[in-house]
Formats: sequence, C-alpha cells, structure tokens
Amino acid sequence: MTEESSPAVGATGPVEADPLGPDVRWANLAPMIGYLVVVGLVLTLATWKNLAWAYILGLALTVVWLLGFAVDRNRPQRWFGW
Amino acid sequence: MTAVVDVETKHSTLVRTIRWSDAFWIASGVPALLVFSVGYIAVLDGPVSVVIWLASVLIGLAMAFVYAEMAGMFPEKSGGPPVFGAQAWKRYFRPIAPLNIWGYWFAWSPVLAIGGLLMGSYIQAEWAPGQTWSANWTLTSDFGIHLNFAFVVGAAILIGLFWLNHFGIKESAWMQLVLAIASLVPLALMIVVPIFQGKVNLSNLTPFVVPGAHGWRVFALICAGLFVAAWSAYAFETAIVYTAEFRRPQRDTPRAIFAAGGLCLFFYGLGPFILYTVVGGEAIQEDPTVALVPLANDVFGTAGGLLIALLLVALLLSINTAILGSSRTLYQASKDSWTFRFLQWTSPRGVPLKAMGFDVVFNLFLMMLGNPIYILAASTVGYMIFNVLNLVAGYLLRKDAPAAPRPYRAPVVMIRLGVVLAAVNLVLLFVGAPSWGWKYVGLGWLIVLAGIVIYYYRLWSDRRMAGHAAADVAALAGRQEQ
Repeated sequence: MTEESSPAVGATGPVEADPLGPDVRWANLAPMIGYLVVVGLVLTLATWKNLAWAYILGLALTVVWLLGFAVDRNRPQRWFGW
Repeated sequence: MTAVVDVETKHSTLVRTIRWSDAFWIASGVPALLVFSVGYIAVLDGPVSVVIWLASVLIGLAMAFVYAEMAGMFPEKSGGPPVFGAQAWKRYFRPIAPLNIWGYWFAWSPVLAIGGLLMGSYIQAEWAPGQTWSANWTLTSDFGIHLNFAFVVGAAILIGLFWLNHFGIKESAWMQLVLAIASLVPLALMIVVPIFQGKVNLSNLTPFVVPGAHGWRVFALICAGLFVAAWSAYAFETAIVYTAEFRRPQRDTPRAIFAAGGLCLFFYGLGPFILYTVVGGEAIQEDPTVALVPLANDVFGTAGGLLIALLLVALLLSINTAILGSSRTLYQASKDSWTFRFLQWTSPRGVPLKAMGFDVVFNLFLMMLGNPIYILAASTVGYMIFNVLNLVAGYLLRKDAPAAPRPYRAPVVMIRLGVVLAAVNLVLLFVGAPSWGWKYVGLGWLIVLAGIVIYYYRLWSDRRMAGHAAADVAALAGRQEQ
C-alpha cells in the first residue's frame, strides 16, 4: 500500500528546458487585454444598473472579441492586427 | 556550493509515485462539491437550475480537452492548468501569468474554509446544539470577523488533514479512495434509487421559469447560477494538478481528467434533476444549506444522524481534494518564480509542506468571515478569471508552439471552442458574480489582484538575492587575488 520513494529517485528536476521552443508571439495582445477590460466594465454597468442597452452592447463587444480570432485567417496576426 | 544546490534541489522536488487512477480518486472529492451550492442555485433559479448544472458540467468537459493537451506539454510541472497557461501568457504580458495562477489558487483554496465551516455547523446542529457561544466584530451587517464553535471544529479538521497529508501523495490518494467510496456510493444511490422507486415527479419542474424575474434580470440570474455552478462542475480539472507526480505523465494526464469528467457528468448532470423532481422547490427553499437532506429522507427514510455523517465524509473528501491540489499550485507557482519563494519547499517525503501550511493558515482567516456561500462567490471570481485566461492560453500555445511535443492533441474544433467558452466565462464573470453581492465580488478581485503585487515582490526579492550573490562572488575573488 505504502510506496516508499526517495526524493532523489524519479524526482522532477528543478531546472527544465522550455518545451515551447523559441520565443515566438502570435500577435500583440496588449490591445486585446485593454479591450477585455472595457467589455468587463460595460457588462458590470449593465448588471449594476440593469440597463438593457449596456447588456446588448457588452454582449456585442464579446462577439466582436471572438471575431477578432476568426477573421483574416491567412495573416499571422489576427487579434486587432488587421 | 554544490552541496547547497543539492540540498535546495532535494527540498524542492515532488516524487513520481502515482498513476492516473490515484489522481482520479484524489479528484473524486469534486462531485461532493455539489453539496456546497446545489440548494442556493435551486432557490435562485428554480427549476431552470437543473439545466444550469447540466450545461455547466458539459462546458467543463469541453474545456477539459484544452487543459489535457496543455498538461501533456509540461510533464515536469505540477500545479494544474494555470501553471501551463502561465507558460503561454508570460511571452505576452507577464503579470497575466500570476493573475491566472493566483485566480486558480483562490478558487480552490477556500474549499477548506467553506467545507470546514459547513462541517462545524453540521456537527454543532446534530451533536452539540448547546454550543451557541460566539465572538463577533462586524464591519457591516453581513461582513465581519466571527469566532464560534463551527470555526473551532473547522480549524481542528484543517489542522488534522494537514497532518495526515504530510505522509506523502500516495498515502493521500489511498485516504481519498476510502473517503470516496464511503461518501460517493450513498450519494450515487441517492440519485439512482428514486428513479426505480418511481419518485421522479416531472410536474415539479413546471412552470419552467426563473422565479420572480423578468426581462434582462432573468439573463442575469441564469448567469449567476452558471457562475457559482462552474466552481463545482468545472472542478474535475484538478485531476491534472498532479502531472509532475504521475509515473507516466503523457499517458496518465488525459486518462485522469476524462475519467474524473465522466464521474462528474453523472453526479452534476443527474443529481440536481433528481433533487428538484423528487423534493420540489419549496422543500429546498426551507433550508438550501442542507438541500440533500430532504432527498435522503425521501429516498432512504433514515435517521438524520447517519445522513449527517455521510455528508461529513463527503465534505472531508472535498476538503482533502482541495488541500492537495491548491498546495501543488502554490508549490509550482513558487518554483516558476510567480509567488513567494518559501512555498516551493518540500519535505523529505516530497510533500509541499510549506505551501500546504500557508493554505491552512489562509483558510483559518477566511473561516472567520463566516457565511460559506459568500466566500464561495468571492473565490469563483478567481476561478472565472483563470478559466477565461487559460482557455485563451490553450489557443496561444497552438499558435506559438505548433510543433512542440503534445502527447495528447485535442481536436482543433475543441481548441476553437475553448476560445468561445472563454467568452462565455467572461460574461458569467461580469454578469453572474454581482448577484451574489458586490462586497464579495470586490473581495474576490482584491485577493486575485494581490497575486500581481506578490509577483513583483518576488521579482524584487530575486534581484536582491542575485545582487547579494554577485557581491559575495566579487568579494571572494578579491580575497583570492590578495
């Protein structure tokens, strides 16, 4: 039942190589992070004041965020890189 | 110098002793999380809560494809999905990585406080009703520090579990197996038996509406239900927290998460449906904290004491799942330099003991805040932040490292669906959370954002240490020249 094992045997080492390889970035995501903060603020306002227009705007902005991943498929950058 | 490095290595490593089945049993505490909020969501959303739970566990299963792929890419890392997500985010904007990890940790860690308080409350109600003493310091009518009998019992349980888990992960897995069989079998019977007894009454689901709400308020309340349900129904992802302790991580990782997901699909898909159709909304509303008790009475007709005992075992199971998982998250976060350095220390048995101790101390403080459902709502803020960021991280890893080895490769459609689910979770975070109270939402954000402050403290601390080490080397070289 009890399996004795020394930390030195089969232990995971403290230093690991980055399995992702070279530091490559798909896109500049800084605009996206700012955009998500704005979406969050609009949806918070909608919930706080129960405003129909804010709900609709917040949900529409969320859909636009998703479209930012999908459009212009053949370019290396898709999020606000159009 | 080499000796120092050896000692540091020896005291900051985990050991590969478990299989996927062990992780499955450790994660088997997740179905018991249903107990925490099934009553509250039933009161909030009425019969619609049945669909909310099913939708929530299905979303969790869809997300598991992304998380399983990510875990396979980092077989040396413990700590669960946020640790893998941090590897993607650190290339873009480093503070997002600790936000992701801290959000996840704050989602799991309060299970200790909530479970401890609930256990204390049940024990007091059943076996020590005379223990009504309390000491309170309140800031507002529903926010303050409370010391009472439930706190003392909960604290004793947390300290006891800390001691039991210091023996090693293999022993912890065996303990979970025993607790799981003792609690999940009766819980499963409670769900299945009424079907054969013919006690399922579909008329309890009519009218199929969210009670007392109209217009956009219906949408907000459904989001609120999905928000809190996610904390329980997505939680089987904890099965991949132990990647660095798997004997064969590439094989064990997907098996662990999908097996745990299947178990949760049964409990979360069927459990709330049986509860609502057998018991009905009115009976649940009488005391949502113990919503399963009327169901158990209806099915088995047994004495309250036995039911409470079964419930206590289920709570113990979920607390232990959380203490094991969240301590690994802290451990790996510390090793990757995202949080306090001392948390990476492991005992000679390979247990991250300081991280576990930090968890217990933090939860002793949290327990003093009192009401479990509000602590749960605050911690779900962290969980949703993590899910949004981590699902995007899964997509980023595909884009940035398409050729990196992936022992398990999720279908492309699931990676894309992951981004859609990130959007769903984003909406739940901002629309669903406030229904549980702005104060607690604020507390959740405050604790999660503290992760970024701690990250910058760690950066500063590492630089200072490096500066001291460089000064020591220079002084040594100067002495040798003389």
